[in-house]
Amino acid sequence: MEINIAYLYYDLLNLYGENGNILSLKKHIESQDIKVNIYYLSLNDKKDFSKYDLVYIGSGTDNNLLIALNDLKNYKDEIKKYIENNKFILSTGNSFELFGNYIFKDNKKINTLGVLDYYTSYKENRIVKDVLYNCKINKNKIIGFENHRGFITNNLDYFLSDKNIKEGIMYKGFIGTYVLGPILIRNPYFTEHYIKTIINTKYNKFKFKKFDFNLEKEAYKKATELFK
Amino acid sequence: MIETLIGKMIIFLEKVTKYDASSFPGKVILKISPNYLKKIKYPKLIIMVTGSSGKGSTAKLIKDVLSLNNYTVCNNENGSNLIYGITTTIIKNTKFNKVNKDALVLEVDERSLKYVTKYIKPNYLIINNITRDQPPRQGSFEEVFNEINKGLKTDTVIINGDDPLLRKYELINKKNKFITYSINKNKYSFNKIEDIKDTVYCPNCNNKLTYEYYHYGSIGKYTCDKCNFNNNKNDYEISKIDYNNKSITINNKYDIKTDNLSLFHLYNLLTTFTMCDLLKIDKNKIIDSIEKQSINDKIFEEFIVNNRKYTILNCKAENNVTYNLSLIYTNMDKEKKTIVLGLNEISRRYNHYDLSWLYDIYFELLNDNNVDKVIVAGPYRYDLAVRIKYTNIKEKNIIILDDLNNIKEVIEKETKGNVYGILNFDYVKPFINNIRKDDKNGD
Repeated sequence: MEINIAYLYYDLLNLYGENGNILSLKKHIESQDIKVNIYYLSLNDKKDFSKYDLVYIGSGTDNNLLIALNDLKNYKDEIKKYIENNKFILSTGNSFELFGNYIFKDNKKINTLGVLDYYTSYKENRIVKDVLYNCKINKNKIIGFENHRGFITNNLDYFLSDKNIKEGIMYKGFIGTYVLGPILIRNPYFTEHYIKTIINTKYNKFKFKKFDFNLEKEAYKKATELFK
Repeated sequence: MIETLIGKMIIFLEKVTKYDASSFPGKVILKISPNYLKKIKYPKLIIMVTGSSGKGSTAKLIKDVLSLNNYTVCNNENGSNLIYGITTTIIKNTKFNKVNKDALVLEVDERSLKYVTKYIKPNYLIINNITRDQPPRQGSFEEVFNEINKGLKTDTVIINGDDPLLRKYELINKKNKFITYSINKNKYSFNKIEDIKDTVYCPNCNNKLTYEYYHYGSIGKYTCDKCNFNNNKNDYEISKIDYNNKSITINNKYDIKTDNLSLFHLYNLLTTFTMCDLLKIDKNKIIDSIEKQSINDKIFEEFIVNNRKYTILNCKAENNVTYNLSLIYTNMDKEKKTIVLGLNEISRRYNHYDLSWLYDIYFELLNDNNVDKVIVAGPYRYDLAVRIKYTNIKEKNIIILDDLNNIKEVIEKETKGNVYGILNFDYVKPFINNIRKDDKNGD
């Protein structure tokens, strides 16, 4: 048994410790005695979306995001097919702006992949905040950090929410969220659920062993207490 | 000028009332007189140092060397490096509209540079590094790069040539004169190192850069095979580091003794040498002065308590490079060792709980057989413990402490080897105090 993970633009889009998400996936999937193959892929590397069970992509500087976009545009049809086939993509921070129709920024319109129906507009000031949001797919709240200028307009399902706020995008196996950084390390309850979903999708009725998230749960508890 | 007088009065009142806010007088004066800084007559020599980390210690070292060579220097030594704090420094040193010193040496915040150089034009601007730092405030290193570029009003720019990102300034600012410095390959350079890198692609043509060696991150000897952007020529180089005799050689000729051979410190020394040599100060005098001042360097401390050697490495939360350089330095010691990690506050400026930067630090370097235990302490102990867990260090070798109260007992009873305190600056003093509490020779 094996799970294949593509870490897209690992050397361009890794602005907020997002390598941590890969460490988390590897450690906890391996704890189920499943082999994990991580494909570190960047500019000009050939990407074969028929191979991957999960695609991860993190946030980057404005310039690096556009450099990555140029490369990713070569795979528009493959990515659309990948999403429609219920495969998983996790896109954190500003990287999920790439999958919508366009980014409107400093009076310029930049066409993006257009595989999902939404667009991004940039505001003058960055929004910077700690968040503790309800999660659409897990009962435990998601803790994290946002730091971005872009805002999404969409009619798709959201990923996270709080009172009047709807955050991120969910469409089939695609999750896009402005909550950035090592989100899978900071949210052990969500991560266990997410990993189980990925494994179950590939290996039906998989018998799970106990996951070890003890320290992570202590850290999660401490962090969520700060919101009280 | 009336503004200066008012400013001096406020400073005097602050002293009397023991109200310590170095930026307040400057703030008031710039409110009443926005062009105040334009009205002042400055010394002929103006040096500014900016960058993500180490600008304060570099500016101070330059100031010290200049002072030892008979310059009178106005310097914002207290670290108030935003426009208001700098204005306060100017008020303090101004008499009859004039800064009565031979030189003005300022540490300038990277986002404030454009406001400062609007009024005060430096002869020399030193940009020592741009790294990941304070993400809530800075956004990204690219934003910092752009902010500094807006303030690049100077005759000569001095940069670390080993950093391809800083070399980009040379590409886009053809009118300025650029002086570069560099550290050559040494026995601790890496052919390959898996730490996080901010610049992987050529700033000129986006082709992947080829490295002959790395010092850390993107810092090293690089070439672009497509457009030939490279780091082959530098004006000043540390050509040799002698780890046994604790000295460095600049441009194959000038030896400087220093106890602290961490790369961070060596770049500071090299920057200072470069700056002072450009001023045509006698080279031997520069070397003498640097050696004298280097002894006082507080960033780095070494001492022995109860037969255990302690090394204190002062780091900055949210700044992966200060940690990575400490880890690389720790890794040079191949004896048994114990690591202590801790911080009290992520930032003094704001109250956020962003810990993503912990995953930009290459803690994986600690996962070797020489490391006996890793102790994590303080309010963020579980976040630190989790980070260490993901280096694949066994959980039984991680000791989690609420605070530093019993740190000495824990180290002495439960751990082995040399002790490396890789600490946020707010944990340095508490740590040293706890370790040396029974030590009569201690502070």
